[in-house]
Amino acid sequence: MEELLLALFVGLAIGWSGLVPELVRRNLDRAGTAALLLMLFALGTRFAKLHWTAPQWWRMGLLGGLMGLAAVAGSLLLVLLIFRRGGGER
Amino acid sequence: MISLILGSLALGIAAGFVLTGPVLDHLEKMGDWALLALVLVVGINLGSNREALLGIRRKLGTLLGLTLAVVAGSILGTMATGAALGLSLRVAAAVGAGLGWYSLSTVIAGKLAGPEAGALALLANMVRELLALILIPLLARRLGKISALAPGGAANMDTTLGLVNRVTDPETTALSFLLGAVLSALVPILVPLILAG
Repeated sequence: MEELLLALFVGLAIGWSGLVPELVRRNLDRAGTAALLLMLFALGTRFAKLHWTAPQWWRMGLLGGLMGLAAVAGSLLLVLLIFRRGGGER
Repeated sequence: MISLILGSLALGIAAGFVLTGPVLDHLEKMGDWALLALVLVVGINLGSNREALLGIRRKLGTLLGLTLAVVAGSILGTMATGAALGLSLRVAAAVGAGLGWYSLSTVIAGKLAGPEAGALALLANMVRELLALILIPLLARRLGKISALAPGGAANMDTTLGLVNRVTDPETTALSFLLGAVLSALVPILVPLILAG
């Protein structure tokens, strides 16, 4: 976890300093995408070790769906509570 | 992008069945380094956008309220669901703390809490993004512009930004970008913090 925070703050400092050459800046998104795809590939190899059956995948899908719905509902509820009571930013 | 993400995962799963021992260990190490590289790139992108970071000062009150509501609402929502379904509360909270950024939260949760937690983070946060795309126009029309920023989470700065721009106004669109930027910076902090706590 410490490494992640360090990477984030080093990145913020580098970006803020304006020292990133234009060529690097233009290719940052590509580098980020490449890193992301590599990570997901590595994660996929770990998923393979789960040896889940189809019903287990369905169960996870259902759980994931419910949790996604709950995250949206929770966020919306609190946003409405804060902003409608506070004068309604409509 | 979503097809690339699913494709990489599918390729990885296929490779996981075929490859063995040391090769998989090397892949896992490469994945760890790639995660650090990605978080570094996120930091550089955010830091480079000085206007957005300075803009935070002008909308600090609204932005703070929105950030608190989205973070607390997401985590409380998934924790409540997790408790009802008998899941680990810590994993449920970490899934909510993914704030819709399914790729990064999947990798962090998968690395720190195991592949099951990673799979759950992926599915829940993908569903969140899909729901956001469906709900944003409806919410903007029925419940007000600010409410349209609630479902997207971290996607407010990229995937859902165009839609927010179309159904709200320039001021709300700027706020959407700022909110997405702040939430994106919070994901790599909150998810490990919850799973390590």
